[in-house]
Amino acid sequence: MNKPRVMRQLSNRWKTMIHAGIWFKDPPKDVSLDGYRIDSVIQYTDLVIGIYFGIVVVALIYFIYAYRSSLGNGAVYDHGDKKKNVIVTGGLGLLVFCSVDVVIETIAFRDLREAFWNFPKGENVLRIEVLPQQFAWNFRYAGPDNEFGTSDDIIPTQNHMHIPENTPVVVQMASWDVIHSFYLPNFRIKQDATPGMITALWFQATQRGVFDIACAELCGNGHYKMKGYLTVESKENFDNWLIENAPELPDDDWDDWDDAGEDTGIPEEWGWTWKELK
Amino acid sequence: MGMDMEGTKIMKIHKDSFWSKHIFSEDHKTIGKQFFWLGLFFLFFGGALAMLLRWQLGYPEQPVPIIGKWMWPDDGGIINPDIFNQMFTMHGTIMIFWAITPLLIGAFGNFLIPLQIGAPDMAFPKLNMISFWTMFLASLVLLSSYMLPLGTASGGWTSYPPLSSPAGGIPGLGQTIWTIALILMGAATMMGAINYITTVVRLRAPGMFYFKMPLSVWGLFLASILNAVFVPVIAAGLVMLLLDQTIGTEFFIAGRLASGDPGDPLLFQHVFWIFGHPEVYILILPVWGITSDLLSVFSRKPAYGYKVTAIAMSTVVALSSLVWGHHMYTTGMSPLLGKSFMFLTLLISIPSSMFFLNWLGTLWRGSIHFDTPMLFAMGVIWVFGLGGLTGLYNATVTADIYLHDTMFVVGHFHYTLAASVMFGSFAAIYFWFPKMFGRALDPFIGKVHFWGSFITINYVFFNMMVTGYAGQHRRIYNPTEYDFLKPLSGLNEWITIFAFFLGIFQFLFLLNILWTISRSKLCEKNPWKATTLEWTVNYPIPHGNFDEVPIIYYGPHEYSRPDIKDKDWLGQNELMEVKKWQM
Amino acid sequence: MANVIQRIDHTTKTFGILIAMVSIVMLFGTFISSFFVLKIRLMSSVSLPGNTIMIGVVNTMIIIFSSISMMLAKFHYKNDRMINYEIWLLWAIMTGILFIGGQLLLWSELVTVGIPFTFGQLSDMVYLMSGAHGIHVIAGLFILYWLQSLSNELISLDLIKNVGLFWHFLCLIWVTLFTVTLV
Repeated sequence: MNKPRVMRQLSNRWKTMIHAGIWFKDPPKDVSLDGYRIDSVIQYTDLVIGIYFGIVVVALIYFIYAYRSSLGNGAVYDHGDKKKNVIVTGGLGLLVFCSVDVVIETIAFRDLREAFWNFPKGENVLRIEVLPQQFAWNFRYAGPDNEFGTSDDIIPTQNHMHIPENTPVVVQMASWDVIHSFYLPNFRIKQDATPGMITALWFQATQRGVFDIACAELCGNGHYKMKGYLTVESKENFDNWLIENAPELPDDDWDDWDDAGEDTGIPEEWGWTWKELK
Repeated sequence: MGMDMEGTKIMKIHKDSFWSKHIFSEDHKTIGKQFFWLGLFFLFFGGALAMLLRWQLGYPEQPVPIIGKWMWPDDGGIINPDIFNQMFTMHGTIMIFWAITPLLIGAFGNFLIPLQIGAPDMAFPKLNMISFWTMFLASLVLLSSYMLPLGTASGGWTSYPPLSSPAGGIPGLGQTIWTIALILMGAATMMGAINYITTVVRLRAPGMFYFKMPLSVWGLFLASILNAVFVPVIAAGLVMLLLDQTIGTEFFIAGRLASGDPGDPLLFQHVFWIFGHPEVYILILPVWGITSDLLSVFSRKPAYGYKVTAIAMSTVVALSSLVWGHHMYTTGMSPLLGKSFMFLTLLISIPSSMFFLNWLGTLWRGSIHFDTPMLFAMGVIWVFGLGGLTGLYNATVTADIYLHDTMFVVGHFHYTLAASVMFGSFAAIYFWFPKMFGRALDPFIGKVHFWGSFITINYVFFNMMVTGYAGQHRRIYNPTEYDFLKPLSGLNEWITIFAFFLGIFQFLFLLNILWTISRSKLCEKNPWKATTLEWTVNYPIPHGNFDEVPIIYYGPHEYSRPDIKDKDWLGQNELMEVKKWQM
Repeated sequence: MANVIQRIDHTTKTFGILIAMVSIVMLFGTFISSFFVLKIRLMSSVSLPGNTIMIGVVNTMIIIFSSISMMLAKFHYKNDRMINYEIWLLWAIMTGILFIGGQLLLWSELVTVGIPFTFGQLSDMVYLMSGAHGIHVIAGLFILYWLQSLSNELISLDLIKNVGLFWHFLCLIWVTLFTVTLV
């Protein structure tokens, strides 16, 4: 269909292409406290299903080789429905269930209990609100008074989120228009943001750097470029950044508020302050 | 079984005019063929969309060669984001509802069920005809959405509101037309399901007990039960969605939190997946049945653990209605629900591994013939093995937090729904083609088709999972927008190249079909030496199927019986002198 | 020309109708569950004004009466009283039509008291459920009309039973729906 073009490209970049097509791709660098849990449960599943699929393939190839009709051996008339056979199949089914399903279930429940659904509490926790809209991310920090929905809320430029390293971050979100999904590949987490309901996730960064925020739920034709930047930096830099982004006139009247809102395209009324979960 | 002949009567004398014979036929075989052509058309239509999607993912924002300039002259042959979204929406919708469903449930359900259970026709032939023509109408409605100035639906095949409602900002009527087409499709499916279930329950020939039915019929029967029960659920959801889209209700539209608008977007997701998860089993169940039967035929050996397979499939059917929540782990569902759904989902692996082992058991100590249908059936073992096992990642709540909505999910469900289902359909087409059209498909082209498809399909879908594990989220127009996806562009290009070859091999298949049909040589009545009832009738099978009501003595897989010497199979209705051998 | 031999005894038809009823139950089940989900989300109930409830109650009585008429028609047919059968069948049809009229009256009353369509999720669900049920009743009326227009040789007790089954089922669906809206 597209042979000439494909061939041209093949000859130009033969080596890179071969490499790209065969070598396994690592997931994005994990920079979070708990991301290793997800990697490890995936690796465990890789291992066991690799073993089981390997057994299936070996059996399949052996059967094809050993029981091919050209040998002329004829088939054994065996319905395989005697009690013995049923116990063997059932037993193997249970073996698979216990060695794979039960183990990953145990790991997953432990990780959920210890990490992903165990929301951190206390003074040290940084709280951020996210309000996605078509097709941008809005972030809101509580500001000095530590309360959302007040005039000293810090609302940085769209699509830019900063967090200090080694600090637990709890993110609450609700969507402005359609369903979006807050996806941090480097932190191995995502959470849908749905209009009319508040959802939350938490994570903790262990390394500094700038990482991608992506929208994982189809939200319209700009879905693919609904991209944000998460900057992980030191506590001091983060505090400075907060001050830089603080609203200049916190006790300004509503008219200026309106103007400010229109200029940045960030909705003024987020619809909720912080909701204590659980 | 009430098999008395009291209710038997000569229904009507048919006048075989062109219209009643080929167009508005009430003969299940003709309707099956109509579904076959409809499904085949949409299979290639959806496949073409897949090729264009792959082009965009492999070569982002480069003009499509050859047809691009002609299709999208305004954009210089480049697929734009709107078109891209419409393409994957229609690819998903068409492949699931207009290609696989008509091919497996429509064509083979219609063709096989009455023939394999020894019935003269469906229980309600007229309803059967109406079902096809409703489906045809639904197809026209769906295709008509391409005529709209602003294009067809682009909210994904899941069509989540508020995106798919006017609040979602998708311009034009495409989304509404899509909903109407799906409601019509649902009506057609329900009519079919009522027919299939009634036929299997009421019209089995004397002696055809449930545990003497071929496993293909088991698969189609169980799929029909799921259709009858769960298609109405999505129909209700779609009616509510349609009202949201047209009249202005707000069932699924929640306003901003402050305004306290009480519509519930998650309600649609629940309704969708309560149907949607059984739907994937609706698609795969016939394949499980067909694979079990074909492995037995070509191993010349009874299907290993026939009853276990049938019961395991029924168990999966029962469980499938309880696991929809695993599609919604990231929606913020309560921890208790998440855990329950994970546990129930993982339970499915027990019955699945049991019938999977039975497939291997059938090959064990068999006498394996490598005809084309057998190659595809063994291909199903491979691709369904991978597809089923990779489902474990998605069932795990923690792994799914990362993998949800990535290409991993896409790779996984293409392994089960594209690779397994297509291989199963191909196996079925190669196997029953002699009965449907009286001519056997060319075995050499068939084998090239198999090996070409097998290698390319595995490369494409396995590496989709690899890109997903590397973080690439699905339904994105241009993956190079993101830094963390830049290393994947080479792999995406390779997937595209292999996908094109996969497409080319399917044209080989199409040519094989067209060439075989136009070729006049009829093949023998039972080319595969199979035992089931459909092979006892001559092509062309008359309306009414059997000259006399067949009486069934044996199960569907009587191969290599030691007590018969001259042949290695025994038809289900063949009366054999039972000598010393008693069971 | 081909003779089609087909077992189409009425038990088979009854079975088909039962499967169709399962599908219809799932359809309305989804509506009812959605109604409750939205209700929990709203934390309120539809407060139907007294008049509309009255009309609803009368409609319910009408459709129950229609169902009973169908039962009596079957009873009289069984005892070979064809005139009575036809009268009661006609009654069933007329009360069915009356029910549809009553439902339309209910809708217009709802509009009059200020709960038009698209007013709110819960009242919309009431419109949707009664509308979807109404469409089924109209379909049922066509079937009753068809039964009524059949000549005597073509009618059988089984046929009347099958049609009656569907008609009673529609009555039951409405009683359920009406109860749900009142809860």
